[in-house]
Amino acid sequence: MPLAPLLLSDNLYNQRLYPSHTLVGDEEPAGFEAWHVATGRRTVGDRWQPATANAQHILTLTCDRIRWADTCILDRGHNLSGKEVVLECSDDNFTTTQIVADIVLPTVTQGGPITGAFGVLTEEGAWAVQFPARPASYWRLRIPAMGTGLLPQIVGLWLGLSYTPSGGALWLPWGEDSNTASFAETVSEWGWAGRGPIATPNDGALQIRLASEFDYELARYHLIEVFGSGRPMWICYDTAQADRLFLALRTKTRLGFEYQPGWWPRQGGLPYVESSPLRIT
Amino acid sequence: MSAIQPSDLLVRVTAKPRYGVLTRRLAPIARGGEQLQETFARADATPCATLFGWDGKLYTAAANKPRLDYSDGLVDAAGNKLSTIRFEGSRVNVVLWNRDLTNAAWVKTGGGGVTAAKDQTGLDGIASSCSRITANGANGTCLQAITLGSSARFQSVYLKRLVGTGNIDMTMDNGATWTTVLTGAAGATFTRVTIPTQTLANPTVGFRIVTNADSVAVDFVQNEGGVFQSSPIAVTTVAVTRAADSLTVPMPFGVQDLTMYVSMARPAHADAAGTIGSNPGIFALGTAANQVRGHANLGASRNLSLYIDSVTDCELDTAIPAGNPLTICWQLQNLTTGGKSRCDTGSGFGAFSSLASGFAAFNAQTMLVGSYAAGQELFGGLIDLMVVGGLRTLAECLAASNA
Repeated sequence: MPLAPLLLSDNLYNQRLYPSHTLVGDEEPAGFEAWHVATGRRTVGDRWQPATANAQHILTLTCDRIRWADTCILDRGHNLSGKEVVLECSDDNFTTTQIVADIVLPTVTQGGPITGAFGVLTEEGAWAVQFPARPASYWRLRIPAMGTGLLPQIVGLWLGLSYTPSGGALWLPWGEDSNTASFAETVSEWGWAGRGPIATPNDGALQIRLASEFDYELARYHLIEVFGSGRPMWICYDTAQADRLFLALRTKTRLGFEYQPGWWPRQGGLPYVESSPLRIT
Repeated sequence: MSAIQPSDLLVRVTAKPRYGVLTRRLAPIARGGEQLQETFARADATPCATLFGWDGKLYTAAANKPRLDYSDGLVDAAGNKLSTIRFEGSRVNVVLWNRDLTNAAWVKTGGGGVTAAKDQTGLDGIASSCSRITANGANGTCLQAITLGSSARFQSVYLKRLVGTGNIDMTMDNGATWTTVLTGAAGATFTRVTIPTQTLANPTVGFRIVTNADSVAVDFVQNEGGVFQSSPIAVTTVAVTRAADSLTVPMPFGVQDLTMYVSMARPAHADAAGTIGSNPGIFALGTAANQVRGHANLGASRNLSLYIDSVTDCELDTAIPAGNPLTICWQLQNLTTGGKSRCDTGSGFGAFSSLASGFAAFNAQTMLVGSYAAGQELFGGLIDLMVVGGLRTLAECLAASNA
């Protein structure tokens, strides 16, 4: 069965990518300002967290023009599992409000589609949902009161238009769990090896063949310009099994869609490495 | 001719989510990728321009915000809902309290009388945002008198049957003319109904419920100047004016052989009776003389026209075809020696028009979309607009649009 990948490098919350956007939290205590949600840093120390417990909180994004989005991802480190999260958009700054998704986040990881009614909680705790693409000038994430003493914590937040490779598939060889071990090792004169702790971030190269030059319009934007410039990108190898979604960065090596023998018009090789993998003891 | 390549595309404005924005974008802002973006204006005094969202509910757009609207009920080949960029001219809805028929502006004593309650969920999905009227006897009426100079008026309303099967009639001339707008049993959704345009002063607008105890939900009663309806405008104490939509994009190219491809929802005026009173514009290259513009035609026969505005003008008229959406491919040849054009709306190219003359250059590096001048707005929804270098066929344009 063909896999249906989804790649998300776009993020309307990212004010470096969209300098004219404004992002405002209803409360932004010092050290926990709203802009922390789009830094791409995955440490829980880098987060938006309002000040008042057990109250509704809202993170409002004002775009410079109408912008489409079809995917929302909360990075791991949030504390919203089992809590209600509402994604809303508007064209009149929320005098009238369109509800895009109103979801109680799942509490456990289970294989499932990113388009599911509750989205999907990934193996490392991120939450993702894809919805029919919506255009709007204003977007907001609304988190109703969570309970006594509880405050929302959002480490990373992505909202944007996803990219599906031409033909809806990645070319082989590729696997979502492929990785390269990274560790320090010393080998004694007897051939015995002593190793330090092992890190195994996913890595590989996305192989994508385009079907027309028009395909390159989108591949260029999402993969060469946004991901290629060093911004992290969510890689979902199969939208039907989005629990294995992970965040990746480009490597230092060559990346591009090039004309090569055996295929017309272009094919791309996009090397990546998982961004800040979850440390598991 | 080979297929259209991305390098052939000069301008593209689209309601499809492809680029994430309304105009073609190939790189992030920091790399100059959004320099060729739209400038949009609609100077509403207070937000009153409406759109139907993806969920079918009615929402409001702020002033100077474009409207991506799902009211046309279109879907793409994969069955996904298609939005359109809504372009309308200025219109004034003169019906006060047009969602609240309990207000004293509505006189409910005619015939057997009518009772009104504001207890219905309206087009916006909000409970008790619109009204229900119920006949207390046969031929009960609910009317509002409006003081207004004489003009051609068009009247529309969203109705949903609640009880009964008797006729529901509508008038704008105080009952001198009643037009039945709703028959049959109760339904689950609102339907927009209209009555034929009338030229009159001081309209008295409203409803007659023919059968005692019948009841209907009523939302967005609208009486506006013109011969066809525009999007709903909410009104309370005073008439509300929705300003005209205006969208322009930079046009960084000169005169050459060009192809203009347009995909748009079938506009209401395509099937309206009477004289429209304007030429609903689809686009214009340049802004006045030495301009090429595509528009619908105001005449009694409904045409699509490509007009070359030069020393000697040239106009090519093509009948608006059946169907929804409309797809149009205009070829514009030899602009530097004047310009002539031909059109394909799905049944092949017709003959080239006669030659214009004296066309030296576009008079401005600006392209208007959804109009060709103030007062000449499309009054419809645009799906896709491409300006392509060279002479291309409709099939080639469709392939590029759907790529």
